[in-house]
Amino acid sequence: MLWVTWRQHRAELAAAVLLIAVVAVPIVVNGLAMREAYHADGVAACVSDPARAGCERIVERFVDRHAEWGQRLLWFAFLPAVIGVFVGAPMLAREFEHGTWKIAFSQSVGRNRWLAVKLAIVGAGAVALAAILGTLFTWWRGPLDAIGGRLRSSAFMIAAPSLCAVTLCALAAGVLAGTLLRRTVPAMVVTLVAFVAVRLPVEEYVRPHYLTPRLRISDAVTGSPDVGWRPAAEWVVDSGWMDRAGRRLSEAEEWAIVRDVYGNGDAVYGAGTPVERYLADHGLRHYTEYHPDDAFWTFQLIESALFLGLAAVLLAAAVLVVRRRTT
Amino acid sequence: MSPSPGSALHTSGLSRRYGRRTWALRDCSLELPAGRIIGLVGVNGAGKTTLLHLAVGLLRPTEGTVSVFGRPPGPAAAVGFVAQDHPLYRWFTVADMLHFGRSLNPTFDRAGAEQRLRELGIPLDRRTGKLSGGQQSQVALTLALAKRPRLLVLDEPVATLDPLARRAFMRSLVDAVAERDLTVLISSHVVAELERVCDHLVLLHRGRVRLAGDVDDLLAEHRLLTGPRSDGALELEGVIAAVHGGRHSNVLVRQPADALPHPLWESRPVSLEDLVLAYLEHLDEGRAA
Repeated sequence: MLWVTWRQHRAELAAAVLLIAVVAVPIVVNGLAMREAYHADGVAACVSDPARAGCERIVERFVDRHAEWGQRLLWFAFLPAVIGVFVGAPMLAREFEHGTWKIAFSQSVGRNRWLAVKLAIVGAGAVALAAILGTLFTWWRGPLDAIGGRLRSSAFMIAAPSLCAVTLCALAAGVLAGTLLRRTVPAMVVTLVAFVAVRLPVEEYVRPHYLTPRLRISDAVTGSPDVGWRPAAEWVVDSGWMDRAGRRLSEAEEWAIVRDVYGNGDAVYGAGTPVERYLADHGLRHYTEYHPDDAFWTFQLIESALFLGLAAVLLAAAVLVVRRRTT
Repeated sequence: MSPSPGSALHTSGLSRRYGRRTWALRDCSLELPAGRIIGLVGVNGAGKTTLLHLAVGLLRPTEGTVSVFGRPPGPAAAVGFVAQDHPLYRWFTVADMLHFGRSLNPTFDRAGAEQRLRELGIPLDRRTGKLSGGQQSQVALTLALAKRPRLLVLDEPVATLDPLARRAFMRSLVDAVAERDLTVLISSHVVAELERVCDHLVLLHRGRVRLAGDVDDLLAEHRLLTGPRSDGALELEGVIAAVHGGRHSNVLVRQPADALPHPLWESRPVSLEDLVLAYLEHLDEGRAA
């Protein structure tokens, strides 16, 4: 059974190894260079002592220089979809499509063991790939995360634990689609659609609510513009203005104020701008809902548990469907 | 009814339903003797594949029981199976398929399988997808035989083959059976292919067993009678089917082998193919009536 699984999936394994090699080399080279610049350009000093002179420009330049690479890595948030579509969906769909399930299930090895070994080995391979790439990405992002925090999508989605869990979930979705549809190409399409339909809403609407965000309320700053720079490691999920009673202004109300202050001209924000004066004059204050950076591992745990649970349900369903179809 | 010691496959009230109301097999009770080549005939959709899948454990009965050498079918039973259209992993080489068989079957006879393929001139290093239909069916048969089964089940093994490949396949099947202690259950809607090799016959029609028995007995019991045209009530016993021509009537009768010949009717022995076709036609007429 081990040999059969290896023979059926060795092309995928080769592709995975190739992918790691192709990705790892530039990431390591670039990551080392970025670390050198991080110290040489004084960014590290700014992170540990934000009050130093000129930090805003130093950090901004550093982040700008590496933003493009950070964006590229975000594409790997689709790695689970690729695994689900090209490994999960064909895994059993092909057996049904070509009728080979009839040879597979009429040998001396029972179908339960056949399924268990196949799913375990392929699942382990997919998780290993996600773990290696996720670890690599998080290492590369180290300096950027020290500046911008680890909870933002660009860092969070490609961190190893959640990337592994989502990969396993997408794989399970592909396997289930393949057993239900019994045709490879439709199963691939359904897997992709299902992945996007679950992954994006979770990222957008569910993840901010894993924990209750903390609330910070601050007065409008009417004085001179703030000098210096502060690390923004916390993850802001909502911000706006509130009145004395604590009522949060709606977006429409906020726009009305901006129009009131600036008319049709360009709006500027920040300490000492006219809009801050307006806020102070009308008894309005800033509020920010955020998650602190040290909630990162709790968030990873919750997201991983969510997708692992979903993966378990999908896999159980797939095994049940196979057993019903073939008994 | 429990299986007798000499039976290879025993079914009792075996039924299988697909969905809510489609019965593919209904109340099928069979006792297939060991050491024989058993032909399973019937038109497409008669329930042949369902019966075979139940026998090899790819399906479970909705009702009734099935046992192979007294044990429930499944991975542990000594059954070799060649599925319809002899599916193989297309990207595997022939050698890979043998490796596949060996890693999934403790009793796999790899040396014997390699030798068999060599004798058939099938290259081991070729992908199975590149083989001809005849060669693919031979690889599938070789795999099933290498499992050293006591029961070999073949589902329409020659349906997609050209006449020459059909003959070659059947000949090699008979040779393989002659060398070992093996019961063969083979389905086909091409009765002519089975006639040469089978010594036992099961006829399925619309999910039910309509005829089952030793081929020799069946041929001895059935006779084709020719006599003057008489489309009224035939004064004959055991009429299965009657065809009335312009001046003569041809009648298939089932009578005890030692029944006396009827004075008015000329009696001829019947071939297996004629016998099966007469039954199938009759069964279809019965439905239409």
